[in-house]
Amino acid sequence: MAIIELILKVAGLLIVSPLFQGLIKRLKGILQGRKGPPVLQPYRDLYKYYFKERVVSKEVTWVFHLAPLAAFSSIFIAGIMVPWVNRSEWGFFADLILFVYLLGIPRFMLALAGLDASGSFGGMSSSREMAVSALVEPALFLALLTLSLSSHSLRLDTIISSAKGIPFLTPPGFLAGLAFFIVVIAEVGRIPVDNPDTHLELTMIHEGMVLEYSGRQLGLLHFAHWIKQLTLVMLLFNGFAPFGLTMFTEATFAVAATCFALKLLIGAALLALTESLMVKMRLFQMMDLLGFSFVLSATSLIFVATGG
Amino acid sequence: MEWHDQLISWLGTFILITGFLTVIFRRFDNILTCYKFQSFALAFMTLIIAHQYGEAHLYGISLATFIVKFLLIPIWVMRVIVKIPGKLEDHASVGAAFSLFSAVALLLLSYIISRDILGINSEKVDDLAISLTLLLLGLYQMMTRRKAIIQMMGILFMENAITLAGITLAKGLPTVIEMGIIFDVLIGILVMITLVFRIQEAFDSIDTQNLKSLKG
Amino acid sequence: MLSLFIGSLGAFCALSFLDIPMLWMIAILGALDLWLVGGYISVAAIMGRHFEFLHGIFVLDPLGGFFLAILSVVAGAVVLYNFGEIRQRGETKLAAHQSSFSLGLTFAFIIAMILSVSGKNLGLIWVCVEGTTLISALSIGILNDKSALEAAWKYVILCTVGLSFSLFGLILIIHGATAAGFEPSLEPDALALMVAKFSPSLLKLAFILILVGYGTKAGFAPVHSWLPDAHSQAPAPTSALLSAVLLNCSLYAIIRTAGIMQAAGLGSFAKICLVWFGLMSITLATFFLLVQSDLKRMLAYSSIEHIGLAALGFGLGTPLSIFAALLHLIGHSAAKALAFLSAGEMVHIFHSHEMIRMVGAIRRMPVTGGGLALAMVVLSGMPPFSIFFSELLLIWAALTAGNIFLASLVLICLATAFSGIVFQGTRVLLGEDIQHHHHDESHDHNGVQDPGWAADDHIEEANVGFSWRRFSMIVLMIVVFIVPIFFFSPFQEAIVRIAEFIPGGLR
Repeated sequence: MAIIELILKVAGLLIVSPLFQGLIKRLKGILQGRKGPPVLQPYRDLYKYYFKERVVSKEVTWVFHLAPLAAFSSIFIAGIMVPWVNRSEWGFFADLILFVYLLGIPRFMLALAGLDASGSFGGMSSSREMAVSALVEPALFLALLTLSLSSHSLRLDTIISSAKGIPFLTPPGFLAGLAFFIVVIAEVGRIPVDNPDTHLELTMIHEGMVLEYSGRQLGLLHFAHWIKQLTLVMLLFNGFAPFGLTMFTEATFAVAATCFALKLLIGAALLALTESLMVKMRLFQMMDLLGFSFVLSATSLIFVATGG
Repeated sequence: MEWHDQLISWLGTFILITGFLTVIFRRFDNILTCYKFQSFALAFMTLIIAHQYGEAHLYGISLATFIVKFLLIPIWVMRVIVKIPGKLEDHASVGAAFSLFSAVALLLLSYIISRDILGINSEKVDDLAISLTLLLLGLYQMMTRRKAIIQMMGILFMENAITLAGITLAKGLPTVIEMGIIFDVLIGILVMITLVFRIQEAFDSIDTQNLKSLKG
Repeated sequence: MLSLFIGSLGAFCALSFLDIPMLWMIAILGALDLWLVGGYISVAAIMGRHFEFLHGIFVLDPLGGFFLAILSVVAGAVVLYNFGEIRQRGETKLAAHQSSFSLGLTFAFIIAMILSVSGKNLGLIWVCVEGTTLISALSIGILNDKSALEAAWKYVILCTVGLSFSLFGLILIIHGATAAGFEPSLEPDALALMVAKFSPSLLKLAFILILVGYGTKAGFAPVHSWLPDAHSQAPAPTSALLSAVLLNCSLYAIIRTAGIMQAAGLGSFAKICLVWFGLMSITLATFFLLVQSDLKRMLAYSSIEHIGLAALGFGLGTPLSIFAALLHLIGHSAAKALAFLSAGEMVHIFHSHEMIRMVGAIRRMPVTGGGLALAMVVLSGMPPFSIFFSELLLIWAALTAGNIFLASLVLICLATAFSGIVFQGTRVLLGEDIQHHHHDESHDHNGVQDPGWAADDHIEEANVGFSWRRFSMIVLMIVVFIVPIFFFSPFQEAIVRIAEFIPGGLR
């Protein structure tokens, strides 16, 4: 049973994440009054990247080549940890702290890689990324810790399976969920934190770090980014508003799968809506927003810890 | 009833969040908007507590809070403020991140104090902690802001915090005293705005860094 | 009767704001009202008669009557002084229409203070004290010059913040009542019955908050920083009222609250807090007093010190110390009011707050200089005036209570303050009348034109003839002379009866 789950999960991760990205871009386009790119476009992009020629700067070291692999693998493992349709999928190593660190490894590697190519854009983006993550990581950690306090466990599967009702509808859960949503936006690099469509110097954070990559490495990095996006959105839903999660039996699988699709749609819509309604914030203004998300998650943690 | 307590805890959270927001915002009209929403939530909460406990005088206090703090004060202050030239924006005397961390630290401190005082199992710990946090946040606001008019907002926030404490912990002070407090708030704003205008005339700015000549 | 009193004062206030032509009638009637009617009411209250205002919301009891007595005497003189100021100074700092405004503000201030000592309900006292803060801030800010505005802003902000903490403390008390299952109330009589059952840590926190709040208003160190600025930059009548009466009102509030603590069995905790605050005020004020160059600021620090002494007296809690504290309040109010009124006059004549610029006051202005001289003599604690006796009794009480360290510390501070005040006082008051040297030394004093010299001719005239200001100062001087008799027998009994209303006093 567990093996089948694992295989399905891996396949799902690989197949659904480009779909999710395509969905977001399509919805964003519709909301902005255009037609938007086709939903299957990311698959074509991956195909395109696979066959493109690589141009590598002379200045790079082994860090540059290691970074996409390290990023992809750690995000992939993190992606397996987060349950999609099942309350306790594949849980024995789904530790909360491990999850946060697995998200931290690609950040670290990419920042180094951005510095590695000795380009000015890369260095600038790396420093911005570090500044943003200095506020984002505590917020992320505290928000997840809030969830874990009520279930007295640090394992993701236990946290999700022991959630009574919908945490989002309690004041601490609402605050933590809101904080986590802001974290998600920061992590996947969408407006108002970062603009994924631009390569302008003023507005790059994530794009700047991967600017020097081309060909298959770039494809791998994009793929890793999409997997991270899907994983975080799934964690947002299943951690704070778990509906339709069941044990893995055939009978209930249909319901669970429908809910999964629903979550995909709502998540994509939320992200697209946020991107369309807001503008990218100035860097220092963004610090206020991220600090605010830290405050929200710290507040929710204090509420839960004191039994409020 | 169950939904009373739930709604009250949601409103309390909302009031706390508006308190935190005032630490971030630099412009006066944003801070005033926070005050408006906080006062609205406060009036609403008073209404619910009045309904829950059947305290008739709280209905009157709720109405008075709504009229004075949500309508009267913001509208009047906004109308008066446009006469002050210059931007009503505060330079960051402390950074936003530091302020936010301090805000969380104050929240923690308030919870520790409340649990000490009321005992861990009291159901009023949250209410006391939130009011204490807002009180300390108002104080923090006054210490770190430089424009005189924003310091005045700090006093208004402190007063809101005390009203919150009054209605949650004490089911409302006696009517005479509550009315007296609201009356004091009104007169206080009158006096403070008068002083702000005079400061503006005398110093040509309302930056309180100018007000440091008397020492010793 | 009380309603008549307050109502009449309210009418005077309104009429002053309306700037009617017969302002002198308002001022005289107001002063007589305060002295005669106010005096009668307060003496009757001390004797035990019951007064009420607004259907029992405000109730005057002997303790309130005591404070009301002090208030009435001082306020009457101040009203006359204020009116005199309006008369004489139409052309300088205050514009004519603002002057009747200042009289109106003075009346409003007085009414607010009367209300604050006429109540026993703790919440009501709070509302009134907050009201006094706001009204007095307006009167400080009326002068429109930079330091006055700075002082007024600091005053409003600091005192409102402090009073907010007090209010929070009051809410904690009510919560204690509901948590213990009682019907909450802020009336001291009802509270005294319930309060033993409240949670002690809650009461202690509440008391500390209330003490810090009202202590800010009373000028306890370390939350006194607004006081020197506000009292020195305010116009003279406001300064006198602030120093001589408002500080007493805040002490009144603290005493009422301490009474509740006594009923809860936490009386010793309350007394220790009071002793500490009093001690800090005394020492801090003494040090700052020595380095002052501004006359009114020096007097303000002297206020902090004397109120600290009174707090110390209440905090020690023995019958002797409470008697000393009450006597001290009477003496201090009379002398301080006289001091500020004469200082105001001197500031006006010498055109400067700085004591360096003031020389030879007694020769030049006999009444003003004499008033200031008398006030300084009394305030520094010289016999045979009442402050000497009250300080002596206080130290005696401290020694008999076994507090040798405290007594010696207070003695040192008092001696230091004495020397400071006398030193500055002699420099300011005695000496040649500079006017005669004026023509030789001409204008250039290190390149700075001394405005004080130039206005001499004008002042010559102002010194001649009757002026309401001088009249009021003379009245106060008479009062100051009278005060020491309170030390002696018949009045002792009256004070002892008042002291019974201070809980913990006679036990």
